[in-house]
Amino acid sequence: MNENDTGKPLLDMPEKVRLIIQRETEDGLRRFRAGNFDSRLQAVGRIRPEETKFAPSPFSRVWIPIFGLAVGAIVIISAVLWVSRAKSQLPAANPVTIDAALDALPGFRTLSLSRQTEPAANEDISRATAAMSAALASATRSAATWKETSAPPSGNLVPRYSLEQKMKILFGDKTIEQALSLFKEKFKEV
Amino acid sequence: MTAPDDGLFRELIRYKEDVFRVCLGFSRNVADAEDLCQDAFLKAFARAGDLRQPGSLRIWLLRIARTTCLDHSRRMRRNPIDLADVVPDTAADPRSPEIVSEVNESLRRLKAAVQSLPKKQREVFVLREYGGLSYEDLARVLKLRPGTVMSRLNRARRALTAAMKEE
Repeated sequence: MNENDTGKPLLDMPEKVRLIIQRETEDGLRRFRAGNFDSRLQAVGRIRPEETKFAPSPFSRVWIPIFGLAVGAIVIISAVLWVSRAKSQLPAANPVTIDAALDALPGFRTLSLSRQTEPAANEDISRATAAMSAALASATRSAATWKETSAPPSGNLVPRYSLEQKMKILFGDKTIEQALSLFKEKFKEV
Repeated sequence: MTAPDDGLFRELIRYKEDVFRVCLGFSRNVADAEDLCQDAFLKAFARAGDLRQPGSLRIWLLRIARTTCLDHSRRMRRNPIDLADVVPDTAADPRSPEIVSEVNESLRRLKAAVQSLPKKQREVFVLREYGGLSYEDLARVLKLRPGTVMSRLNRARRALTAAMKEE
């Protein structure tokens, strides 16, 4: 049993182990030969197809219920989505009716009336805005004049204002103060 | 699976003892080996259409037996081998109880040692020592080079001898 087919040295099996295997094999074969293996195998070979016909495979046992559950879940989700979509597509309520209903509310009515009866505040704001624009325009003009007359030869384009000029721009006509005070009063009212 | 036709059945059944010996090497006792042998033949009948070279029927059958046994031993590996697993029926043994006991204990130790081998060494050892395959046939069954087969067999024998001495 320990011959070497390729010429390389092989470790011999210990005699004891070899005898155990030999004895086990002989005993096993004796019982195997007495067991009528051939007819048993033929019988199993014939019975097996009928058994498999009635017993579903593990694959079927696991996957068919999962597939059924998945289909059921898809159907339910589709039905829910269809119902919610159908609800959202119902004809919208008449906007004129909603508008009228909102106008009928006391708070909204007061607001719309106050809008119609208080044009004076809006006029104040526009007047202040115009004044501020005029002040800024005059400041720009004076800056341009200063630039023409006193631009440094180095080519520095940033205008340099004296403190007096800055004060005049900001507070000379008090337009900013007036505009801010008007805005302040307006926001207080709101 | 369908019932095997008589021609194929006769061809395959010629190798039943070869298959049984291999199954005995992988399994714990004769009863398990018979069951494994039957499973291997049923698989072979079911896969008869895959057989491409009728001349290598024995190699093909032993390859199926090896796969069947390895699947089985993978399932059984967690359970330690008891004496009752190895020797289910000792009542009919004509030898003295002391000798029977000693032989059975040696067999249990051998089975445990074989089972503790790595899979690659175990299959080479069983196919060679139980199945009686030549190195060439071993190489064909395992789809390995003969040199690889020999080195694995050498390692298996060394490990088995050491394991038997330890116990």
